[in-house]
Amino acid sequence: MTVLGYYPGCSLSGAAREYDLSLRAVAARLETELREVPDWVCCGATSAHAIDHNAAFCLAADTLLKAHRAGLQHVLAPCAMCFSRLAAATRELRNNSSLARQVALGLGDEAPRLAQVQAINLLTWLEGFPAGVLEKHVVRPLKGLKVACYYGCLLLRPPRVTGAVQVEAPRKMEAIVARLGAQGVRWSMATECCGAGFSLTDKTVVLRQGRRIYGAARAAGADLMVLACPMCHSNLDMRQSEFAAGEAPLPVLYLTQLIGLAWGLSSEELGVRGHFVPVEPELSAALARG
Amino acid sequence: MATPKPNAAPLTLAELIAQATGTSVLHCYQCGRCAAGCPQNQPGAMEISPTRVMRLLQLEAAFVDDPARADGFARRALQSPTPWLCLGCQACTTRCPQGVDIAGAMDVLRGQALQRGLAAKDRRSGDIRTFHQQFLAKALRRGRIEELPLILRYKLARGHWRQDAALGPAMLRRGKLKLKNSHSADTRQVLKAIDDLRRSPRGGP
Repeated sequence: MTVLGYYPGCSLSGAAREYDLSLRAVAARLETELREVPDWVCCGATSAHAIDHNAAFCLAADTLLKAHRAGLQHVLAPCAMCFSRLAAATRELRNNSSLARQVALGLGDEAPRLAQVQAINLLTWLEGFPAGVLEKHVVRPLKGLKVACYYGCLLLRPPRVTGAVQVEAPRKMEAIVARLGAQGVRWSMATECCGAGFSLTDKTVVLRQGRRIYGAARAAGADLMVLACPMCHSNLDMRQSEFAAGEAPLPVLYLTQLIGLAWGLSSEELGVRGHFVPVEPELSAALARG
Repeated sequence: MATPKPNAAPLTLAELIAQATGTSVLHCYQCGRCAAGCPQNQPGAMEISPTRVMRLLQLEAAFVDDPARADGFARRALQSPTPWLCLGCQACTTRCPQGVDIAGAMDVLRGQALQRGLAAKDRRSGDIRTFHQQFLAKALRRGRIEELPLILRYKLARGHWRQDAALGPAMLRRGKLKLKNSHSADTRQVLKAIDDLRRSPRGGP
């Protein structure tokens, strides 16, 4: 059993609970113990850094401190937003700016020690498993399935925070779905922002971006979409009946759910039934078409 | 650590951005790549493009010896809805050939607009600003965010009750919303660290 720090973030106990469920199910098969950072604090998301740089940094640094004190060096942050905030804080601590020094002092520790904690995202974690490990659990090969891998913003950008090498035409998620037998389509909107941060405040943006992303995935011949961000999911799944009313449904899955389905895990275990766009009928039909 | 000299000229926005992001808006050569890739820079969506915001910041810095003119350029940038309409997607920052952290600059502009009481007054900017403020206040107070109380508080402040009214029950049925706050985390240390920063010689945010 490998122990990995775990920062679920707020969404995974609420609107994205199926991401938490499916991640835990996949981690168990991969013999990874997800050890939650004790008393972790909200990362502040977009709102904190949008208006108050200091508050945003202090929120993320506090979680890094709590991870450090629990002896957790690597912390899996499945939400792209949380990952981005924690990784940005680690970067600032490593640069050891005067702000980082002061905040570390205020939290009762030292910047270089806190900077030892590194957030990792879902893709980095999964691609760390050598060839054969993800493959050996597959009982329902996804042969012929065409998948639109949607990265959105913060898994990749900005690269100095995320460490991503291929930022404009990434293929990491495609490589993972290929290990399940599926094929990642080439499409134009994989890294376009879906606008979900404005879901409450400016819905026209969310619908416009959702429409563009849905349209591009369809045009590329995708059977379904996979992603790794709760905000993107709530937008592209929940609002699909609005921005693509009367059109063919495009199921939107967390990457961990697609892995679980290929591994034969149940819909309940993966939380697939809680989606607005039904998954199983489309998936079965696509696999039958092969 | 540098202590501000008495009567020293206040920092320009370009200098504040350099402090926060480690990059300089003065390096912008107006190529427009940030505007081209901005998902919000669509007809009718944004007021002035991020490229033009960069220009205003350069102009403030250029007219540093003419405070009235410099202040006019700074105000134009701070009062614009553009920073509020920015989604923070980081496409501009990633693509800027001059390495300017444009999204980071937008963060500084929002913070400064709030501090100076200059934030854009239009309805859309106000909605977005209220949401950010409520979200941050809640994160600092409770240490965790839960969707339903956040949504209700926002709607109490801004209206829009009919928008997405049908989604609430559909999300509740799927277990995606909870009726009660059930999570919290200890934020005392965070609040103390923020307070320490505010008192420090380096000054507030």
